[in-house]
Amino acid sequence: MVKIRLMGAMAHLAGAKEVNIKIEEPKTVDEILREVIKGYDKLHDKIIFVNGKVARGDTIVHDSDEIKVMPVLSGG
Amino acid sequence: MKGWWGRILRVDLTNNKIWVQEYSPEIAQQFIGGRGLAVKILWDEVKGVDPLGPENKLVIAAGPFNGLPTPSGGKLVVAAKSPLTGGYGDGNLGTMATVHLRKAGYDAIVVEGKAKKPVYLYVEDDNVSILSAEGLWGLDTFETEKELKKIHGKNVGILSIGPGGENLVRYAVIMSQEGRAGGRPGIGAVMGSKKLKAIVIKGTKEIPVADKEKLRELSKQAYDEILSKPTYDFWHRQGTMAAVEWTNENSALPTYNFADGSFEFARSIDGYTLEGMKVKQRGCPYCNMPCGNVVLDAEGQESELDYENVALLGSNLGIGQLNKVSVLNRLADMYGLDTISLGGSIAFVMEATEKGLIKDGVEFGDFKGARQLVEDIAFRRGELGNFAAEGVMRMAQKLGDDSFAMHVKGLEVSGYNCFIYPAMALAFATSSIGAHHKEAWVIAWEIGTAPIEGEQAKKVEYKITYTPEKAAKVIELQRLRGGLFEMLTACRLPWIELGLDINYYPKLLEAITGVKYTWDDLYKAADRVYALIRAYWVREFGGKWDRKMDYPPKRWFIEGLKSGPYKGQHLDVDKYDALLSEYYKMRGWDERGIPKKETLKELGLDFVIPELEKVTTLE
Ligand code: SF4
Repeated sequence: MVKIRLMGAMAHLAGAKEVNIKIEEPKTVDEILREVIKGYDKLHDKIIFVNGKVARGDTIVHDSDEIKVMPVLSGG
Repeated sequence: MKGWWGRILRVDLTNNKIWVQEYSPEIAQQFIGGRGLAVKILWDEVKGVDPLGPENKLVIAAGPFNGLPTPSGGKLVVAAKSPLTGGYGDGNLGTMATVHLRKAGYDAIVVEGKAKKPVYLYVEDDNVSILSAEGLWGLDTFETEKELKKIHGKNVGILSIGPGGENLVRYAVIMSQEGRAGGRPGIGAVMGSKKLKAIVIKGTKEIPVADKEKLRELSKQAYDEILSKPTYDFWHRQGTMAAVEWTNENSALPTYNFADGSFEFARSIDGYTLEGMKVKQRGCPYCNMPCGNVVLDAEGQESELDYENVALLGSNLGIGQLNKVSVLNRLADMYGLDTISLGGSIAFVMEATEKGLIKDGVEFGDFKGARQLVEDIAFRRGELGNFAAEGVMRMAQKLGDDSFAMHVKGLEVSGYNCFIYPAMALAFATSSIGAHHKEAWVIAWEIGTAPIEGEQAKKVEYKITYTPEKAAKVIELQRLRGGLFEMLTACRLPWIELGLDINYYPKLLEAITGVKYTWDDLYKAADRVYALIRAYWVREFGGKWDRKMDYPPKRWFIEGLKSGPYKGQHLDVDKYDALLSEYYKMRGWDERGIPKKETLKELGLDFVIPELEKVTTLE
């Protein structure tokens, strides 16, 4: 299982704050999130962590990994 | 001129004089408006004066976007020499006053002198009068607006101060429409020192626009684009309050006077909790993505929340119930106090109490004590109220301990804790007014671009780095956020939060003014404004100006985070210092942080050179 934790607008667009999906083979973060987050490619900016460490869209994810994704926002 | 009126309304309260000053198209084009116009006026006219004396001038400056249908273009800049910092001070607020000011035929109002008795200014197009405010003095800002609307009707724009400004609290703000506040560095106190309770404006003129059709077309496109953004719906739900979850997760939430970056009760003050309490939404003029979330507070009153208020008056005070935080926030708005500096000042008192430096102070988490202290500050009651009304820098000086004094240049730090974020610390330290985030909110970029080593993210951690790109990014954001948006004057959030294409802004500016600005022109205008603001600080501080004034608070160097994945980590002073040098180099400023002669000349600021040479030598 890949555990995906979503924050802020990402959770809104995915309809959940946490999603678990099973992947048969390693995939990139982008490939996985595209299926989970509506309009993923149209989002202007996002911050991604894999297993608590900073990652990018092309980072390879394995079945037991955890992804955390959050929007870039500014707090006013 | 199109887009600008080229007219400034001037008011001298000492001599009861009112006149109109015209300014040239060159000044308009070089400084654009808002902050640009404000710093030019303060540089020319406000030198070496007591910020709370009659010689200081209160500048209310609009920009070319205001009063016209531009996306979130309903902001207004208020500026003066700051009684909190002693340097350049300004802030912006969204208000109908900006719309009416421009429709009345002015780009700005400058108020000087001091009235003998409380007054307010009434502007109706060309008719301007100074009226008695004796019946209003002492009222809070909500009541003041209500009373003024009874007299002048609802279709006016109002700026007012509350007891905070009247009693010269050093971080008093100017308020409008029960929740819009501007002028963190004590611009409300400057207004109070002039015995000016309010400004009421009614404008009915048509603003001259270069290409009306183009403006309409571009605005419509931009407004539609905002509505179509995938993050729009969520923005509508939480607005800036979504940042509580975000900063808490990234160890950046101010907690217990910035001793920590995450809060055990974050969940009960976050955007989701807000959603359950929300009763309505308010916004600024011409904004189709309103973010003023109004809740009912623990006393049954309406309170308009945003992230900064909640971080500084909530987690930073150890108060974990949103309805109680909302009470403090509402009181701050009513009394006209800056929520950020108020939160910073109360947190300082709390920590001083904990450390035994103050007797009979207030403990962290003590809502009742904090509530009482807000009242005492606004009315400068008692020893503690008077002490805290002076702000963190002066309190720390008095106690002789600045190890937990969270300010830069005297302005309290806003809602981002930077133990592990050097770029954000640099942004706070080099902001034009002191520790405010509005000019370069670089923290998200800083996290998102943290270095990745090796092929697998598994091998990577967020590492604190001090690369020159960080200084460059801070400057890039300062040019846009602290430069472009503060000059226009428009809200930056459509671009930042929803990703509205930033190229709309120069296009809109051209449609309004008929002047074509390239991005280079706009960056140069922003750099001009930054250099002039810096020159202002240097002139006002004379021989006392020091590179150390561009340092973030000590705490970020000497202590580590108390909890979380980055526990124990903090900034490194030598590496920060090197990053600061990079920043200066890129800006064309010398090692003291003073613009070089060559830089000033390039920016068309030759007039600054002889003035600065009176107080220091220039490279
Ligand atoms: S986004 Fe919020 S702060 Fe900006 S103009 Fe709209 S209501 Fe005002």
